[in-house]
Amino acid sequence: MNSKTIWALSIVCFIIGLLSVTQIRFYETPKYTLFSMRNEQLIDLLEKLESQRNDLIQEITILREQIRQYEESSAREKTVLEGMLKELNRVKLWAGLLPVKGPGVIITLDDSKRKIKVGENPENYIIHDYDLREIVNELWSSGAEAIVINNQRIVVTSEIRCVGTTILVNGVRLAPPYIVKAIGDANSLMSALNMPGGIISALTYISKEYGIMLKIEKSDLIELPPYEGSISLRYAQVKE
Amino acid sequence: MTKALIPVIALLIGIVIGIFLPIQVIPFYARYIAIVILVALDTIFGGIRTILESTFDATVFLSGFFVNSLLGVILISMGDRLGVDLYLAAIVAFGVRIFQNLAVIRRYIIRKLSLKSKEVKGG
Repeated sequence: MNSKTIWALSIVCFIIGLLSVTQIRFYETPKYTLFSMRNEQLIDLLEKLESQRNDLIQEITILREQIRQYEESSAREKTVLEGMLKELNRVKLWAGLLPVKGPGVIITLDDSKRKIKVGENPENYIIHDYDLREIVNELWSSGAEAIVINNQRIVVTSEIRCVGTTILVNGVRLAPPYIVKAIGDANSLMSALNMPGGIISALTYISKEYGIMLKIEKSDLIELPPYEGSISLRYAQVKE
Repeated sequence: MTKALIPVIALLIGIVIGIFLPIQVIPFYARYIAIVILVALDTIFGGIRTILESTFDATVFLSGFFVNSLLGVILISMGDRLGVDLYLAAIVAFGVRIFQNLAVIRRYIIRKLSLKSKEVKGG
């Protein structure tokens, strides 16, 4: 074999080595694979629709009652004002503009303290914006009524996104550890979070493998601060 | 014979550099890299075969690698655009060739070994 042969073989061998490693690493990076759970999803949907229907029925009763009250109190202005104030408070409570308290769950997440091994993907060692988004989404869908991440109340216009190496919520930069507090039925929140194939099972895997910190606990009394950002709208107007 | 180790060392260097360089594959390109790896394997087996048949030509060898890679990549991107899994054609073609070349190499080595053992018996 002359040296030309050796060099030609070496070049191609080098390329094989380099590409194989990058490719293998790509396929080893854990991805969130949510199992497709058709039946469970359908049952879930059914239960949600049922509870929605019950809520609507309840709301009808409340609205009828309100109409009756308005009719009754139309003569007495003071009562109307009181009723409106009550209504305003109810809407503010829903919108996250009032401090609230109640039972729920507290989820604590933190980046891995472990030293990153050579050849490992550093992305596996930190908490991402999409992790928090998945958790918040899961909490809302399982009936959470108020959610806060590191004192940032999640409201209708709240965003959870990543800029560089930090996570922004309501335009405020958060630093780890990320503490997600949610008020709601603690048991159903817990069971939704711990659903097999869900976000917590994915994070548990990552925490075992790469050492990120993950803690979920129920709490009888959580106190959440209100949303403190601007609530003025520039473009959206009430349709008459 | 020590010269034959150089490609193996090159392979190891490639692996080590691959481990230490934090190259991130974008999911979109994963299939392209896979086809280039397959072409490279095909080229290596083809090369070993031509070395054993003493018809090796470095220019043919390297140009084969680059042209085949290019063709594989073009097939994948065309297949994506046309909605046909054209890359399967490339995978099958190169896969079959790898096995054929391996078969030739295997026969060659067996023949050589059996000749050697005859010589020993004869001696």
